Amino acid sequence: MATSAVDTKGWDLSIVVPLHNEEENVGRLHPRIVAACDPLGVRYEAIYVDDGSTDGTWAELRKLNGGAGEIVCAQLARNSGQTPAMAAGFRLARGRIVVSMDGDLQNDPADIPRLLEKCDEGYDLVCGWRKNRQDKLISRKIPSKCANWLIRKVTGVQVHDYGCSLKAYRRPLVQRMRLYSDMHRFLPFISQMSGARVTELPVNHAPRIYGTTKYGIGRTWKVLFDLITLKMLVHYSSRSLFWFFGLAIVPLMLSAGFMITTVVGGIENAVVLFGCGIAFGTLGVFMLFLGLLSGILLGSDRREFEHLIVREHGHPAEAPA
Amino acid sequence: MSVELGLIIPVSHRMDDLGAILDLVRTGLEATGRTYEILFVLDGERPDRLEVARKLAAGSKGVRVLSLARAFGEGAALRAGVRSTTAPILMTHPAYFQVDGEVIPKLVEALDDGAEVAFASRLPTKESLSNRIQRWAFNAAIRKALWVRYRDVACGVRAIRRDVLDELSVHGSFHRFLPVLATIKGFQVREVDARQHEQATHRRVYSPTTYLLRLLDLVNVFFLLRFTQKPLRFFGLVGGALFAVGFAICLYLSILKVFVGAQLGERPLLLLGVLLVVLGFQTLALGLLGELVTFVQSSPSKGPPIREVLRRGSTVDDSEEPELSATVDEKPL
Repeated sequence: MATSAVDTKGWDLSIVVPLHNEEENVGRLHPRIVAACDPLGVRYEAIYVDDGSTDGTWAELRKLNGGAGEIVCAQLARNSGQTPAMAAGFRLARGRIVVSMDGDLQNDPADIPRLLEKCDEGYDLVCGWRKNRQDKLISRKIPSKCANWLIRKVTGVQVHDYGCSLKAYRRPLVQRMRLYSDMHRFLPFISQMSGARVTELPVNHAPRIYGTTKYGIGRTWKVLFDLITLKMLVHYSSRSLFWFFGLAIVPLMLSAGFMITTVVGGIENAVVLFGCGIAFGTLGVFMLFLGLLSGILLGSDRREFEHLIVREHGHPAEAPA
Repeated sequence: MSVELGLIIPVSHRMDDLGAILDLVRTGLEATGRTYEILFVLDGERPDRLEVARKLAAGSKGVRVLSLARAFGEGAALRAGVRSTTAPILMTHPAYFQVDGEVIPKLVEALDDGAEVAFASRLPTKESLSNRIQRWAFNAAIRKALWVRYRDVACGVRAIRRDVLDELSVHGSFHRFLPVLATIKGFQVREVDARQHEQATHRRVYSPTTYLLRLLDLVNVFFLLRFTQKPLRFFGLVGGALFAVGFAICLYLSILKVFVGAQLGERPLLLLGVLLVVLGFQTLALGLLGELVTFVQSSPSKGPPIREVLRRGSTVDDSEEPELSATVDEKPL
């Protein structure tokens, strides 16, 4: 495991906060995390990941202090995006439970104890659900509602709010997930691919006061294509290699339909119908070959089952408290 | 013996007098006041060139000669050079005259000054018009396609920190675009003005194939930078558009057929529609295959490099091995 060098003994909780140009919020966030976590009486660390900020975020982070937990500030070499920044924070995390949250003060650290409780009920992932979301209706809430509905339909994971960053994980899950590009939106789904037990919990949400949002409506089309990818990966994760073969069936049937019509019907525009038959037949065969190619690709996956959670039973450390 | 600077001279198709080149870079390297080594990397083992390079190496200290057993191109030669030197700062110089040697210490200074990549940029000179047009076109294309603004990224006199090069994963003939790649990945890149060498001004004309290859390289770089992580966003957009047009055509014809009773047999438009639908689907499917490649290559342990980790009361610098970052150094802050 990549994390073998990390001494995780005795750590209960890691809070991972990716930050990009949030100089006004950092100093305000930390006391609230402290206020939420100190009363728990657990050994915790707050991990702040500065994702290549160009403002005074890093300087603010250096000034942080206070609280019973340890403060860990990591600076990425350059701006890498929210998902990679989060992944970097996860790599550093030592806690038995890892909580991720936004650094813009819209998530409330006061929810952390409840997330922990829920985790200890035996869940690997507890997703925050911004039931009373404090954002602009047209540009943020409605697109988000649509996206969530679509993701739910496609992935079959029944979580209301995929976009909420406030989540609690068991560490084994966090360090097994394959996080890349914009995958943070689909974390619940990726977790379920690992066999994780996923649930959700309503959390507080505050309007943004300081700094500017890094999201806009322009990313909707990206979500759409990411979803198609996920649909494919669902099948991949359960080893049904034949997804492309499935895609081949429709054009092959269309092709057969056209050809049979041509032959049986013997009607006037046979050339056109037969042409269509050939075109769709080509597509079907193409898909079949792609299916074979995908088989080669998947065969080259060295980390094939690395993302799966393997539980050891009867071991006191892994059992839910 | 470890040296501070490693200067690599790939010797491929185009070359001037290697002895003169050696004198030029040596003067430049001496001016930096650091230890250095110079590597001639021959692209293929042409006996005459090997002879020349061997003689040069025998006559002077700190010069090494490598050769690729077969001609693999300039990119391969550069990489072979990088692998066989341990210098923390790597420099490159082409096997022909480009700029004056005095730029070499300036490039090293730029790296000391915080830049991670520094490259020489030829100032406009009395050079022939056709050369200038070629250079302008190349840099303008980069500006348009990649949104990176430099005057002369094609100049082969460069300096780069070794750890940066390791992270950049430069393959094929992408070394041409190194400053651009580095800029887009967020590294500190500095363009250093340099006077063009007086022997570098003669007119250059390449074969059409060369120009075509450059263009393909550019397209390739553009694609890799924007869509490696998410290939379906590219293929999906293109495929989706093709499919939509094809579908619209088919729909239109179906309506004609059903409501107007038109004869489709005389309309090639139907075939066009069907073919577009097919092509759109194929493009989408290729994108999915691309996504599969990305997924297979991803792993839980990969991620961006961490420059610095601060723990309250201690500091750890672990830009090399992010996974080991939890090994806390007990130095007080």
